[in-house]
Amino acid sequence: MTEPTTLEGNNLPFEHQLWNDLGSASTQSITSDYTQWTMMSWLGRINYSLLDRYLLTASLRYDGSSRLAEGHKWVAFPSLALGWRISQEKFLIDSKIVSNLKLRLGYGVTGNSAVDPYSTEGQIQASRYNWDKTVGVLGYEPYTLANKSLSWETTEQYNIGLDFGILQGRISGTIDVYNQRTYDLLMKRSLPAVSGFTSIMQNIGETKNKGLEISLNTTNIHSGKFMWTTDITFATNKEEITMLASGLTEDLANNWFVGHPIDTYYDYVAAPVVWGYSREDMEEMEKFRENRSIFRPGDIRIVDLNGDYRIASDDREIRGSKMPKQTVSMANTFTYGPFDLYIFLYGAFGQIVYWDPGVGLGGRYNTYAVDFWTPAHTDTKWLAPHSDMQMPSNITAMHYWKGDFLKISDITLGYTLPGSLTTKIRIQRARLYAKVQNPYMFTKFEGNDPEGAIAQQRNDNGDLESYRDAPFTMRIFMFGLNVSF
Amino acid sequence: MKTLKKIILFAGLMLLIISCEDFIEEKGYNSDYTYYETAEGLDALVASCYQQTRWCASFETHYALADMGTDIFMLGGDGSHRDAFGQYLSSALTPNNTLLRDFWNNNYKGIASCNLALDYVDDNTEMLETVRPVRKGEALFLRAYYYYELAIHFGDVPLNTTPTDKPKTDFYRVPQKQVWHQIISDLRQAWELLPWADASGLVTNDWGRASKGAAGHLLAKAYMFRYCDKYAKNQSDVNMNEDRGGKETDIDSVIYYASRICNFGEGAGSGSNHSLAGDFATLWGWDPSIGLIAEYMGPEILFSVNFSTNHFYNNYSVTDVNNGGNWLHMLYTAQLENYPLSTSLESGDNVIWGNNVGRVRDFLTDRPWRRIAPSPYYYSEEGLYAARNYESGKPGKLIDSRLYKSHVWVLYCNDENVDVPWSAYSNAAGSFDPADIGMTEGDQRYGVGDTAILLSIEDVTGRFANGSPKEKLALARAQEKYWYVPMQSIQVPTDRGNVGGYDVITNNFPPLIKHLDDRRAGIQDQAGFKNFIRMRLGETYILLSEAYARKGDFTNAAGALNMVRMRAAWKDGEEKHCHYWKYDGGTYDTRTTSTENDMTVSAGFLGSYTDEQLTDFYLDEMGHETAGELNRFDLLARYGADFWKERIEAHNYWTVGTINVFHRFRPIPQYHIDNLDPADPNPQNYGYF
Repeated sequence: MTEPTTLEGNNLPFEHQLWNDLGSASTQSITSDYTQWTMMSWLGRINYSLLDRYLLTASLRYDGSSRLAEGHKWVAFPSLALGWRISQEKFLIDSKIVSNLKLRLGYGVTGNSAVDPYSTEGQIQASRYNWDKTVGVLGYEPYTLANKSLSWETTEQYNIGLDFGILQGRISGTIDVYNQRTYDLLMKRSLPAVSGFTSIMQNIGETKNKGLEISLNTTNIHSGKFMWTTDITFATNKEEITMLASGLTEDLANNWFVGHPIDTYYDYVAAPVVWGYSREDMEEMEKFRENRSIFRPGDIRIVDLNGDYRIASDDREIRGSKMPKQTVSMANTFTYGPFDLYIFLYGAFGQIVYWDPGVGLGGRYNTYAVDFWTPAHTDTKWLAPHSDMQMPSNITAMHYWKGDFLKISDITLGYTLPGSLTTKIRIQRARLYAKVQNPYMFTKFEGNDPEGAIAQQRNDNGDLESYRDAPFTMRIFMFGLNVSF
Repeated sequence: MKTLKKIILFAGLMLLIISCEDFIEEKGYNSDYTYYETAEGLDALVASCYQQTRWCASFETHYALADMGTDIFMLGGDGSHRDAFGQYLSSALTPNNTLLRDFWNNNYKGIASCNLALDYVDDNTEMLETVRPVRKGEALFLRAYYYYELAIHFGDVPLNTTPTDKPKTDFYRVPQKQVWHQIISDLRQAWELLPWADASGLVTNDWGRASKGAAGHLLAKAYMFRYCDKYAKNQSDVNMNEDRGGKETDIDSVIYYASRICNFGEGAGSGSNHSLAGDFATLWGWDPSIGLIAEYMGPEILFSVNFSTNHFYNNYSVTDVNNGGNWLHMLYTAQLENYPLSTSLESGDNVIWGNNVGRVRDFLTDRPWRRIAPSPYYYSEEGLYAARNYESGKPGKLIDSRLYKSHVWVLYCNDENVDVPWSAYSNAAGSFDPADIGMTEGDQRYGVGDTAILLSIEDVTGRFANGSPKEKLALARAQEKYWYVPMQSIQVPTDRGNVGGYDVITNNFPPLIKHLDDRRAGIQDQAGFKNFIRMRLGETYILLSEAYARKGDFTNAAGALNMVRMRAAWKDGEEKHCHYWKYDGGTYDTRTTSTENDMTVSAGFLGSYTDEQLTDFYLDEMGHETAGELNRFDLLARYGADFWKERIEAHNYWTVGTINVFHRFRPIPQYHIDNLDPADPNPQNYGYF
């Protein structure tokens, strides 16, 4: 339950009166709100272990959420996990090579009811108008479309996993393979505004996720004072919509396509080079002109995908997804006597970033320095500057970028002072270190950081809102001392 | 045994769930649709139906659709809608245009609220029987109001007249004649249900609610639009042929409703309390030296889009002051601050008279957003105020006060750093010595409070026999005791890169007076407080006059028109602007002489016009009376795509070569088309893709 109340006053006669006489402020505003939602869960679990080798965990949740529609509030979520500690079997228990080996099989159903409270009812909201010049009137207009069948989004997952440890744990790791099916996916779906509502929260369809996750921890060298360990993780996931509740295979307004991830971009495609003065370009432009798609040298060259010599809505195509296809990380730790060195890398591959570099070349605002077109400097990627003109149409076609990156995100070098020295001053341990965060990134992305730029989404009008400038990733140098008493 | 106990325990818990069922009921104090079953709730729903009427005046919106890119207005020195609506560029006027999407969504949002109100109103027994029919009439009027906007700009649109209670994605366009039929039927019902606004302009004790006058006015306009489909039926491009479902008798309906609102002719004794404001200037209440004297809220108003002097009631957001309010005051203004006091000659030289024009931004100067400027047709000799429009044969600039009372022509010095000394000047056009007019070289021409900038429609090339046009302008300026901006002698930019700056007609022009408002909280605030007068009796009279003329009843046509013409005349004893004797060719002696006789028309004068000439005549007359009141597109669209295109192209040079007949309809927003399931077989207007 939330019940926020805010009291606001501007232009107080005396600052030192603080909030104690807001009534004397020349402009005042008061807001308050009330939201209540509840959840109720019943949980039963059975753990069973046979001979310390065969493990079984079965559970059943029965969850109810106030946010969902009558008749759809309660859902049961069963799960079952089977484990087999193979390394405890007679044929392996004495093995010198295998120290741990466990096979896991799992099945489970989980749920999500993350919709705004009161979504199942048609809500109304205040709108302001006035008859009298000074005294206003509050109207109440319809605000949301009721959804009387809003129900749990449920995900059914099968997974097989293997935990292993070899050579007294010098090599250990896990491998997991999973297959998820999510149905009654809860998403905001856009609607034709003719009904007065531009969107509704709905169970919109089904998705499938298949993935593989591997983590590997190794002690590569351990001899005398020197030790080198490596931790590697790798994950890959493939998400696709398998069915839309609307029955469509392509929902253009929401950018949902069966066979593609939920976050899929769909737009025009810009050719790598803008229109120019070449005879070939001029002839092409003339053919477009006949169909009233009018371009001039220096304009963005939108690819005419269907070759009908006009740029229309059917020249849009899927431009990729913001979800990475693979993510990896690697941590290396070296110690030699009192010295330690830590290097951490991570990366993501296969994602497309929607990033608007703010290059309209309208001459009014500062923009990135880009290679733009002039009559004397043709064959550029960016268009000709236009004096005092709004954003060129379809410029969003130029805002899709490959976002692959690999970052060295942390390098730390430490030195632990000899115990003989520190105990004299009653210090258990003292370590000096030097650290650099984000020293380097390998990427072809042209903005600041492809990671930050991913954080964009669609607004209520269906426009993509992106960071014009993704937040800068800072490179940080640190020198420090760890002391424990 | 243990297992059994577990099972019993589990079963017991399951039973508990049933008794706890109400724990997960939603509890809220805000309000669902059941509120609309109360009298108070229904009142609040109908009040919310008015909300979307504000869109046209809030933000940078409707001016681009209704006025920019027409015959009398063109693109201004700044703003982002100029490519699509000022020039009809195919790269910008596309189905992805966001202004059109917002316009579409806004109107359908209003329609949805009206549909819901109409669904609840009949069963609401709590509301007083004296009030309930009025509320129903208001909702019907507003639904028609929103459909009118859509039908004018898009033609065929989806027609939705019932509330939506579940996701619906099959809104298909219907032929525009069905939409017009719906508009007219809603308005006729509203006309029956709504009372006349009383002598103070109130309906159910509130000012600004829809009344019989509002419904009748829109109905007369709708009938006129439908009647005129006879001009729109056969176009050069058959794809632009329109069928609005018009009938010959529609013209009688225009007369029926308009005459009753005006209390004129056959409508006399209707009970209407509406009458014209005595002086055209009263409607705008603006004195360039003082600011807003009084906001007009009198009997000429038929429908007003209300704004409050309390931000809270204007805004979509409670906290952001400028998220709402009336923005029109900035859009028709010109950049008349910091004028550089120089005239650039053909040679490229600049003649400079001073260092500081003495104009800084304050509440009176307003924010010079200059989104839209009068086209050259507005002030050329053969343009809007040409002598042909007056039976007396005199040009409007001498007799029609609306030219001067619609604009700000004089701006006063408000900066003590003013520095504009008198100086001698000569060039090929002639020479000037300040001593000739009793001034001393080096003295300041004006100080704080005096006229700093004066605009006129003069063409100064006629003043001097010799010299180039720029030299003539330079010499004319040398002689004035203020900074002089004669509109027909400053630069006419033809390149979009050159529309800003000084001495260009897109950037420096007489600001429209009608929306000016100095009551903003801060100088830089966008949100103004002035009501936007959406419909007024002046327009009804002209509409009525045109209807009579189309019927061949020229006596009544002249009678109705003369009501407006008499009001527009300079009255006996009323001093005309100094332009009259200084630049427009009038004499000083006649500066207070009445022009009423020069302004009126006779039945014979109107009767001498052909049908086509009547169209031009009434369009000009509407321009005199209602320029900048967001109705120009409607008027031009009445007569069909060919006429629409020809007239705009002839008078607005920015559209030449880019305007096409199919632009008479706007592209249907792609966002709507993409949302349809199954797809509309006829989703888009002809010419767009």
